[in-house]
Amino acid sequence: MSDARVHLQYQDLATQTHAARLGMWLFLISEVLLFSGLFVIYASYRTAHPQAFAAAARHANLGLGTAMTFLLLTSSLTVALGVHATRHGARRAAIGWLGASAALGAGFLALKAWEYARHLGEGIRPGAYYDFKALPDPAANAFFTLYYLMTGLHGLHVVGGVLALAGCALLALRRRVGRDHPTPVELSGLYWHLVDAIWLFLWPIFYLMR
Amino acid sequence: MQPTRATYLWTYLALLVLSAATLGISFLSLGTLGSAAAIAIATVKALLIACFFMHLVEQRASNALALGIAVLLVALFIAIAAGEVATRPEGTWR
Repeated sequence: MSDARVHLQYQDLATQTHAARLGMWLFLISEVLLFSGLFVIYASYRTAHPQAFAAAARHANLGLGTAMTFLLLTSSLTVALGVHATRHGARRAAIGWLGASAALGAGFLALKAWEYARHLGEGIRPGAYYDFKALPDPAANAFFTLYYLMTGLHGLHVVGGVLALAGCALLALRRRVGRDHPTPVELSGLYWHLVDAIWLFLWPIFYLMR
Repeated sequence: MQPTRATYLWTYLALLVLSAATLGISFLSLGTLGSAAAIAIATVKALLIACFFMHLVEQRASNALALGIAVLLVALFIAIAAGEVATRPEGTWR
């Protein structure tokens, strides 16, 4: 009784699936550590300059930030439903949910790009190029430089996630994933949820802590 | 035990309610307390996502252990770094 899906080095499918998930979790944790360095810089500067950081956060566009939070939370639901549909062999539903998730992620990126364009137009630029007359404090410069660094790094992850989800929808379309082989969709889903979870911390520190 | 679609919908609803709560609290101008509440709520939301959307509740404990240790170490990392800045004597470089 050998299962063609089980690779040589695993005794059974359950062990292989567990190894794939654990490997993905370890990768996600390395991503968390990548972001944690930036969160440490933010926490240190905010502790040193609480008023300047609060003033800069008041300048952020709360409506846009909240809309982006809503888009990502909703995309996490649609990804979860896409994984669920894949596991249960509902191919059309899986394609629909995964495609919708990729579209919501693209919507997030569109809002982010619009927000960047608005900020750049006001002279809010990172580092030495900062030229925002209303908040000349160097600590406000630090706030917005961190804003570009952290949301930019997060945005790159959103781009990666959108590509992965669109790829999964394509795999489902070609019947390369499904009830018997859901792992690629599950792992892409894990990645997407992590990207969403990181945004859940970026939202308060750049928009809400005024 | 695999979650049902209802589990996902309830999780989503809880995430929306918690987001609305964070947004509401941010208008109260509570200062440091408000910031702590915002981070605490974000942590609860991330845990909901990890447990239900990321299926930690149905997987072996080793995955949850790896995440738990990482979260603990990141919290320590941030607390020690910010604590050092907070306790610098007056007049030193910031």
